[in-house]
Amino acid sequence: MKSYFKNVGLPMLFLTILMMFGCEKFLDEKTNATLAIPSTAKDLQALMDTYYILNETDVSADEVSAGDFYVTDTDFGTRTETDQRLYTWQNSNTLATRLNDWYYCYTIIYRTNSVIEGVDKVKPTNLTAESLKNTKGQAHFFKAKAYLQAVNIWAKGYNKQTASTDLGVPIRKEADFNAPTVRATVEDNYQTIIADLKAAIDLLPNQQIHVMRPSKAAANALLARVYLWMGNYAEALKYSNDAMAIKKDLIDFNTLTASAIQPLAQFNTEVLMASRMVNLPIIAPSRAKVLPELYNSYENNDLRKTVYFKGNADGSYAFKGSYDGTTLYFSGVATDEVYLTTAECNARLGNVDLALRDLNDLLRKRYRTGTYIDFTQRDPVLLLETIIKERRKELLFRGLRWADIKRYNRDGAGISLTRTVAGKTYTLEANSARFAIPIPEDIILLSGIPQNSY
Amino acid sequence: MRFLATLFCMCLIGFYAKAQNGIRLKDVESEQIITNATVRLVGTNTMLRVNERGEVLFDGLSGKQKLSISVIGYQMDTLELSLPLSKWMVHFLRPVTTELNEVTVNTGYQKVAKERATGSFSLVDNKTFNQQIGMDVLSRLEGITPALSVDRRSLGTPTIMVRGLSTLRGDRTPLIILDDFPYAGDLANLNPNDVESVTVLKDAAAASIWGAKAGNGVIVITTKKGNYNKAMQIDFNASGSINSTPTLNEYNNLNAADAIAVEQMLFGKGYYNSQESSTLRAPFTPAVELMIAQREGKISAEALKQQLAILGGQDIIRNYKDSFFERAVSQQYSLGLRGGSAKMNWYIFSGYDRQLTELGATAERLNLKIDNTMKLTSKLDVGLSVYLTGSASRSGRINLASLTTTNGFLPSYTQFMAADGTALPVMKDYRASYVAGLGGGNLLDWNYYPLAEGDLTPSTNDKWDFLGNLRVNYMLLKGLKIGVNYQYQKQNGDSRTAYGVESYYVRNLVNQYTQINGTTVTRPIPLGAIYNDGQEIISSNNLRGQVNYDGRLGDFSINALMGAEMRSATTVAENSMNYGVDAENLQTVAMDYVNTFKNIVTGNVSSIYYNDNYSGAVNRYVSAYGNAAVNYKGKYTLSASARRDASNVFGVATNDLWNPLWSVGGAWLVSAEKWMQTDYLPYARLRLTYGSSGNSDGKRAAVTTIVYGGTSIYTRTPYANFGNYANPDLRWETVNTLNIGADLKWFNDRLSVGLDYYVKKSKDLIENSPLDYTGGIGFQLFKNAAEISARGLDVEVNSVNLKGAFQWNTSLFANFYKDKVDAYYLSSQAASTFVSGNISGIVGMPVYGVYGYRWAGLNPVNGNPRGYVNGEISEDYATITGARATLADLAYVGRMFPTLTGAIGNSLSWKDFTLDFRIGYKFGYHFRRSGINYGSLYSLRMGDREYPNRWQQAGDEAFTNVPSAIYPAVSARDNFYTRSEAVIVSGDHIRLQYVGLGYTFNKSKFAKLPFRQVTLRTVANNLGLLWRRNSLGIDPDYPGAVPTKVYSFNLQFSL
Repeated sequence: MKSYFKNVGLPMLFLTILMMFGCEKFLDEKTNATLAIPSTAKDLQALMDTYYILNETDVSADEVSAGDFYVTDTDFGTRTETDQRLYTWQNSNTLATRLNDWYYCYTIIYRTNSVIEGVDKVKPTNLTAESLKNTKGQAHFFKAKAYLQAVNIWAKGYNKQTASTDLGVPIRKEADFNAPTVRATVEDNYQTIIADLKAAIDLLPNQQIHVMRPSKAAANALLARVYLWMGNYAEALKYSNDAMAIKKDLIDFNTLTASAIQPLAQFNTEVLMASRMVNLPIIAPSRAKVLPELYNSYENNDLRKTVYFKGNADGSYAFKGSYDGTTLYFSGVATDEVYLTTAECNARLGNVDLALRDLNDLLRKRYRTGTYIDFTQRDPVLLLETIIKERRKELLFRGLRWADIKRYNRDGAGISLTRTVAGKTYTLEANSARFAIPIPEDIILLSGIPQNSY
Repeated sequence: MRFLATLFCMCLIGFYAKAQNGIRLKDVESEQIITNATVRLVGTNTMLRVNERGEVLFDGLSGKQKLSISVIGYQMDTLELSLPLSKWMVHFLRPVTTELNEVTVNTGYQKVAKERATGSFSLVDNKTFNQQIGMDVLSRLEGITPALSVDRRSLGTPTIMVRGLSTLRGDRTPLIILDDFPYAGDLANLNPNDVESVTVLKDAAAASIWGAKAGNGVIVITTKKGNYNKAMQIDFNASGSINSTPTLNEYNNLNAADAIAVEQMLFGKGYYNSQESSTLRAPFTPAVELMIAQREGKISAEALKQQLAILGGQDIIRNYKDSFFERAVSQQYSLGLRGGSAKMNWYIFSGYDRQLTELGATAERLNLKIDNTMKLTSKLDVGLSVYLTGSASRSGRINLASLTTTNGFLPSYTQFMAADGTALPVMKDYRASYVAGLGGGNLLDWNYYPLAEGDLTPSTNDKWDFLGNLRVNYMLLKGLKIGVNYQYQKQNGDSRTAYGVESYYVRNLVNQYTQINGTTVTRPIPLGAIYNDGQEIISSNNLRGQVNYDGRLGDFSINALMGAEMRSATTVAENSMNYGVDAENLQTVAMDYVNTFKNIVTGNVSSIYYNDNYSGAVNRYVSAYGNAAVNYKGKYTLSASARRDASNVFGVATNDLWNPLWSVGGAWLVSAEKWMQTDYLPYARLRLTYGSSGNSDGKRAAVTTIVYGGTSIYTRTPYANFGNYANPDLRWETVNTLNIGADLKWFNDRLSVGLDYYVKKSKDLIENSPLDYTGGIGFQLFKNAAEISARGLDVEVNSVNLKGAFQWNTSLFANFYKDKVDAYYLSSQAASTFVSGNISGIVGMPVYGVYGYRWAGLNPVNGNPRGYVNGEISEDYATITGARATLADLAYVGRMFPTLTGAIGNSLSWKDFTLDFRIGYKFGYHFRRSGINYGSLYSLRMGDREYPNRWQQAGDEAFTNVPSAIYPAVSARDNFYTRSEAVIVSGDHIRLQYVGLGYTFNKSKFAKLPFRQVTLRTVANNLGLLWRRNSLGIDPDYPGAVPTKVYSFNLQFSL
């Protein structure tokens, strides 16, 4: 037995010891060369450059509900049940299970939380410090944008009196997917969004290598949008002025080919941050017909009447003015919105001259050269009315109208919406609780959070 | 070698020429001299002397004499001679077949006599394996291998399984070992003519030596080798096969007339209006184009009627068969030479295979193998083998299944070839009448001609595989051997799809990207061929050190091994895409991948597709293992094995990965006990084993990882996505198996029965648990949440029914199998998750159950399908199929996996004729057939051949379950019907797998034959079903295309 150990045992022992030391390295090799544990500045920025998740999955339920378009009974019949129910403002089953706007919003929120936590764990060097700061700023921006979309869809509009009790959407404080899902209040939602955008403004550079990445200008503009929705016009004005200080370019529509299939280019000079809505078939321009009263509100010298619309065979009009340069709807941030925000805030705050300046600067670029007559209306109420009308005409199909209706109604505008399908009329009354769209039923089942009550 | 042997014999003859002539006895196969024969003169008691050189001497005998020769282990023989002999003669004796007595199984680490093993093995011998003819190894195994089944429920590559399920989410395929090592290359490289035997390791005692990869069972393929002390043997094999024409049964749609009627109805309802105005310019079918033309006054109503009638007489399947198919044939040649002296043995094999499919695709394979083992000293032997495979394949004409358009399937009346044989265009991406008006003559022909496209876009795939193996064994002491085995494998694969300049692929891209600005026309995609080239290199290194001990200690015999091994498998791949290729001068054009271009049809902008990339993967394993078996007095065996594995799965601390797996077993030769000596049970052996093996899936990680996806076309920077989400609790899955076996034999081993009862418990199974997607990581998460158990009985019966000139052997196996879920994290009881073919996940129920919405027949008034809501008959499909419907609202119909599978093979031989045939069967399972979905029919032209049986008028509900056609389609109604009880059918069936007829010419009969043996065989394969329970003509094993019948002719020479 002694020789057995000498001849076999010892070599095996030797082999085993060799492996114990040798294998540590041997087994450290990562299995897939394209696979990495997100730990470097490059990894984290790469997570923020996945454009088809961050820039191409903006929500569309709000635009479907906002009522600027109708579909024919035939087209209505070919749509999915959830799209049909969303279109007619039903109180349940309005969103597909799983692949829906909820999923798109919270997928972005997890990603941005992970990146923010990741940046905090990486030790910056002189070579990566700037890039890490930038990456974190982008994450804060995208997170705020996702929450803003979510709260706009599934909660009531911001109302100072009730915001701290109105049910908002869940807030995920960190990238822990096991954390319980609890509905926060609308107030908490807005405060989170504001905090994220302020952080983004601090961290982001004035301009980025591409508008697919949000810049400081875009963050200011988005924060202005948030305050505008909240009715805090002073703050909205402050941040939209900051945005304009960085970039205030406008396209002269006289330089566009109005007859082109898509007259407006993707990433055109007005775009501060590019993103687009998910393609929801009911709202595709081949089906969505612009409301006649909206189309008719454009004057004949208004170039938007031809740049934005194209005639259908049945005499109706389809929208072709997307800043995405495609048939998909632009839902990012652009300078024209900022002009209208400053104009509205200045008008509301009594700065009539400044309001008129921005309104006229914008519209001059929208009318046939030489035909535009500057607005001079100094009555604050009438001026505001004009600005609000122009806001709707300029920013249609941008994912903004739903929130605008909510805030106008909060201030007493009394806008109610109606749609007719196969002879049956559906109405959404002003200030109806149904302005908060039902949360997807599968989420209610999986998480146990309360549904909106109607 | 044969020459040397002859020379040697001649020398001997010269030496003994002085003595009286006699005969010399030799073994017919090894040509070894036989010295222990008993030779008698028939009819007398006279015995003749046989000397130590195997010579029979006829001392003084003369005249005609009849001899009888008997030798232990050889067939009895008689011989007539007229003495004295004028010269020395050699007389060959034929050994008794010993296969049944000494069956050895190969675990990949050692060869064990099956009779002494405790584990459960199944063996497919060379003879059974070669009853079929075909190019690849794995496809032959189904139906001839006990406990092995093939799951074809999802289209694509079928999955082989041993003893059913062991895992839920992990890889289900068993580990495949080729000559002692896991095979890293493409299994299609192996030549079946080189296979000696296949062993299936079924239970833990058999398989756990393979550790964390053995949970699904192990299939060990052993190739042929040379043998020591064997004269050279040459085997030549040639086969030719032809296939029957595919039935295209998988193309399941409406007939042309019905399809046109549906389109007319849709046209009338204005269904196509929005498509007409859409800027996507999607194509219309020929029938709809005619209707539009008529509406616009371009053709008369009468002309429309006539033209539609002509289309209605077409049949896409008939048209496709007529224009695309040719006769599929294949050829196979192989030559094997082997032999060995006392010090060395060798084997040379070469094989060439060629295949032509019905679509004109070709595949060729060349195999070359050299194997040599030498005894350098009495203690040291060295073996070296080199296996080289080259294969080349080229694509043929376009497959019917891939002929789709941008908005659905081709219509049922599509024609591919004009009467004069020219290729016809069919609808594809854009409306032909629209694109014809574009570009002012600056665009290329935009029509798609499927018949021509295959030749214009050939794909080629060339592979070289090298496998080298070096074995060194040294005997340290008597019975104690130390061995080192190293294997290197490298497979190079090159593939190219060459889109010719005239192909639709190129014309379409060139046109889409053409930019017309006034009079300037630019083509961002140049007019030239597009080559998409891929290269993949797989290499693996295996090193194994092992100590074997075989010895006796009194009444104990011990057989033990211990070893360690390292394995590294690397894959490196790259892909490149070149535009504007000039095939003659091999020039390419530099492309602008940065800017975006407007699509000339839709106006959407996109950049040019960039497909240059690299990828790589490394898998590394380190393992230590040991195995020991002790046998007492040949009656009792105890065995134990243990193994630990580690791997580089995502660089987690090595120690965490060490995962010990083990087994113990015992066997008892009951019939060797004195008190068990009975004629009723002359041989009986009982086995009992228990142990665990693992199932590792390299795709799950315990840390959050990201996967780089490429370069963003906008920022020109890399982008990444999450690959795995950190889940520190993830463990490898383990499979514990208890096996109780019995081996019984009767009638001098003519009847043998093997019984194996097993219970398999799989624990820590990684399963997708539904997740609240507010978490932001999707809808599911992997957790070690599930447990399943399976129990089964494997029965194997082999019987020699008749013996003699007419011989009849039957081999039968039956595998009973049932599994159930023991634990599962199921947060949702939503009915929709149980009717989609996924794992059912209900504790106490089968892992895969077939559930359907409860069916209440069709509404007699309108033909609507009816289900139940709260026990009441209902047509509220949104509720029936909605999120609130639960499991309780479903009907459980049966299992998805058969509870009984098996086969019966019969071999009959009469003199030199043989007839083999094999019948397979599966019982006790159900499947969901396809059903009409009106939504898909309208939007994608995807109907179902049951459409004519739909409810059309009151009373139809008595004999049909097919709902009436309604417009607009209601997706919940379609969903309800296609997932209801009404479309669930029993899968039970009996299949005739193959029939083979052969004739063998033996040299012993045909003395003039220049070969030792010549065999001619014809085999018919895939003969289809003999019986099925469903009356719909569906083959339950093949949801896709049913394989064609193959008729082969085979010729074998042995020299």
